[in-house]
Parts: sequence; structure tokens; C-alpha cells
Amino acid sequence: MKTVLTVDDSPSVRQMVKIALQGAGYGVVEAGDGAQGLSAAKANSVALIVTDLNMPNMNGLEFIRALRQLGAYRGIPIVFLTTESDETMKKDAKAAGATAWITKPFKQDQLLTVVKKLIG
Amino acid sequence: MSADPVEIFRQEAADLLEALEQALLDLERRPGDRDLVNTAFRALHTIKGSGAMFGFDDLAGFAHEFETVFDRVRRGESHASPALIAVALNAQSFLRTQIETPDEASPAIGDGIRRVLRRPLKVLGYDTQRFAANWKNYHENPRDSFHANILHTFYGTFGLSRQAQESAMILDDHGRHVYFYTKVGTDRASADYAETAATLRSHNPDFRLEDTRLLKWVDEFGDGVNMQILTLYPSFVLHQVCNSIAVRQLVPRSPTSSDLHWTYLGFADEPAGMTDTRLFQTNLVGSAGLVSMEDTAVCEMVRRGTAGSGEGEASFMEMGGKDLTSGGSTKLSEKALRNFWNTYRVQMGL
Repeated sequence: MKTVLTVDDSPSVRQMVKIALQGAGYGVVEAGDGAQGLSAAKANSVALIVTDLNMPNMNGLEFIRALRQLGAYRGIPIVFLTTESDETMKKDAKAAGATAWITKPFKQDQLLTVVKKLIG
Repeated sequence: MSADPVEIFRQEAADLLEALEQALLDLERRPGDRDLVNTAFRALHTIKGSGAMFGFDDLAGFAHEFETVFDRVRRGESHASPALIAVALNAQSFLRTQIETPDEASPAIGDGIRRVLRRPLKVLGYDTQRFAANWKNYHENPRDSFHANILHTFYGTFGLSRQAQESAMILDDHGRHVYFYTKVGTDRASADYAETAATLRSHNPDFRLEDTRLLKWVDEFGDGVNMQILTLYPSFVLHQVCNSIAVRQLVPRSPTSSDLHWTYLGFADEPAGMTDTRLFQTNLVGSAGLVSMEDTAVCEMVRRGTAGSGEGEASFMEMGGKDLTSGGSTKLSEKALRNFWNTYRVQMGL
């Protein structure tokens, strides 16, 4: 079973991602900010990351920059969940190695389509 | 913990709004604190993003506008002034109400707002009217639709508002907000009405105005509505009276004093003549308008009349009962008034 790490400071969004992905047969690990996300990535073998941008402690951008430093995660697909007001950060995220974006609000089907495309 | 994301969101939003409130209160003391500005921004950002995910569209839309303001503060384009914090605290409590009791009937109220604010606006001016009454006294005024014909004899005399005209009073499901309108020139003709009207001093057909400009208006929305008064609990009124368009923000100052901040509006693309007409009509409704001054004067009289003679005493008169639902949609109803007091009592835990 492939495991997805969902990093979001919004518990409701994490829950929605979890329900959608578990329903499609993926394992899901949760983290509430970038720092927790980094620890969770180190402790688990993760196939894909779904992360928010705006978070306390360590934001999504800092998180993927730190993650790309870890050998095991150099090439891991990273999906960003953004809102329309995140345009400037979106450019920075792209430069830091984001693979895909989904703009909130999105439906479970949209998320599943992207995840399946990236890790099957 | 519930597994339903919508329930999780409600709890999460309640926590975020609490964090937002604390950040705003702290910002009052430390307006330059960037961490506080970031906390406020992030709380609103999450409410917007997650709210939109779970169908709280109105909430998300409002949070978006609110967030934009704090984004400007964050970027140093604006600063956390006391005025901004005051408005933000109001907006924060509005968001909380929207999460606790989502307003299912808000489309009808929203239609009233959109009916008037339909094109890009321009601000024609603003001023403040101070009056010696409690803010709740003022709330009774736009909800007590039959006062229009008793107090404002100008309206009755010159036909701008009469009981026999087609009118409606629309409340949201919780009775907080109210939208009232009347259509000029739709007076229902009946023998009974004519007989009664003949006894009213204000219906004397011999009364004429020397200068009739105050009565001239253009039906610019094409629906014959010459008067719309829309009140959002707890502090906002939008009116269209003939061609006068304005918002009034009600700000309590003390138990016996309140301010009304008036902002007079027109449309960005209108001809100069239309702007002149709107400005001229502020002699009727506006901080120094004939009708508006009658409103605040009567609020002051009601406050004095209900204050009682001794410390902590008050008097009241129960009129048509306590029922929150009866009263139909005509102007002659106490329904909106009763719902206002019910909303206030429930909110204050009285």
C-alpha cells in the first residue's frame, strides 16, 4: 500500500484528504505544519505529499525546501493545495520543486485524479 | 472527535476565530507586532480556504475580503490602526454568527443588497450623526415600519410612503436581518380607505410644496420601489429612498449615546445631474435630513420614556404580543421588532 503524507494546519482539510485517499486504497499519514511534516516524512516511507502553503511554524515552502534536501525525497511528487491569493508564493513553490497544484475549493475526485496520475 | 469534515471545520473555525479575536485585542496594545498580524492573517486564510471546501461559500467570501485587508497590513501597505481593529472585531463577531447559525434565508436579504449596489459605486460624502439614545433604540426604528407614516408626515402628505401602498417586510430565518420596501403610487383605492384618509390631516390634498424637487425621483432600477430600508444585525443599514443611497453604520458610545456614520453613495458611471439629485435628497434622508432627524429625535424620546424614574428601573409596554412568527408580510407588523429583541436576548443570554 502506497502512503500519502497530508500536511495542513486545517484539521478539516486533512480529514477530507484522508477520507478521499483511504477510500481509494492509499495509506495516509497526517501532519499539522511543515515541521511536523518533516518529522513524519523521516519516520515513514512516503510515496507522495499533499501540502498546504500557509502554515504556522514552518510553511509549505520552507517544508518542501527542507524535504528536497533529504536524499530519499529528492524526487518525490509534491502536490500543493493553494488558494487564489497565494499567487506569489506559488511561483516560489514551483522554483522549490512543487509537482502539481490544486486550488481550494476542490472536490475529492479532483484530488484522486491528480494522485492517481502521479503515483498510480 | 467527529469524522465528518464539516463538523471538524465548525470546531476548527471556532478555535481560529478565538485566536483571531485575541490577536486583534493584542494588536490594539501592540499595533506594530508582525507576529500578531500574521496570526490574524493566517486564521482568516484558513477560514477562507477550508470554509470554501465545505460549502460555507458566503463565509469564505467574507473571510476573503477580511483577509485581503490583513494582507495589506502584512505587506506594510496599511497599518493596524484603532479604527481598523474596531471594524475587524465587528467583522470577527459577524463571522462567528455565520458559523454558529448559518443564515439560510440570506439570499433574500442579499437580493436586497444587490438590488441597490449593482454597479461600481462612488462615495459622494460621509458624516456622523450623534444622538442621545441607546443603539438598540435605533434598531427599533427601521424595523417599526408603521412609524414611517405616523412620524414622518412629510412622507404621508406627499405620498412617498403610505400604508395603502404595495410593500413588504422580509426577515431572514433567524429574524436578525430585515429588508423592507414600498412602492410609490400603488395606493389601493377603496371606499373605506378614502373615508379614513379623508380624516387624516396629512392627507389634505391642498397641501403643496413650493419647491417640488424633493419629490422628483427617477425609477433607476425599474421596479417602482421608491423606498428600501435593509438592516443587518447588529450595526448596518442600507437605504434607497427615492434616489438617495447610503449606508449607515451604528456605533454605540455609551448606554445613552450612539453615533450613526453615514456614507452617501452614487454610481461611478452616472451623469452629474443624477449625483446632484442624490445629494439634494439628503435634505430628506441624511444626517441632517428632515426624516432622519425625526428618527433620532424619536429614539431619544423613547429612551427617556422607557428609562423609569429610579435607578435600575425601566418601563415597557407590551403591544401585540410576543409571537415571533405571525404578522404576515405587510408593513403593519411588529414581527421585525420582536425578532430583534429576541435575537438580542438570545445572544446576550438574557
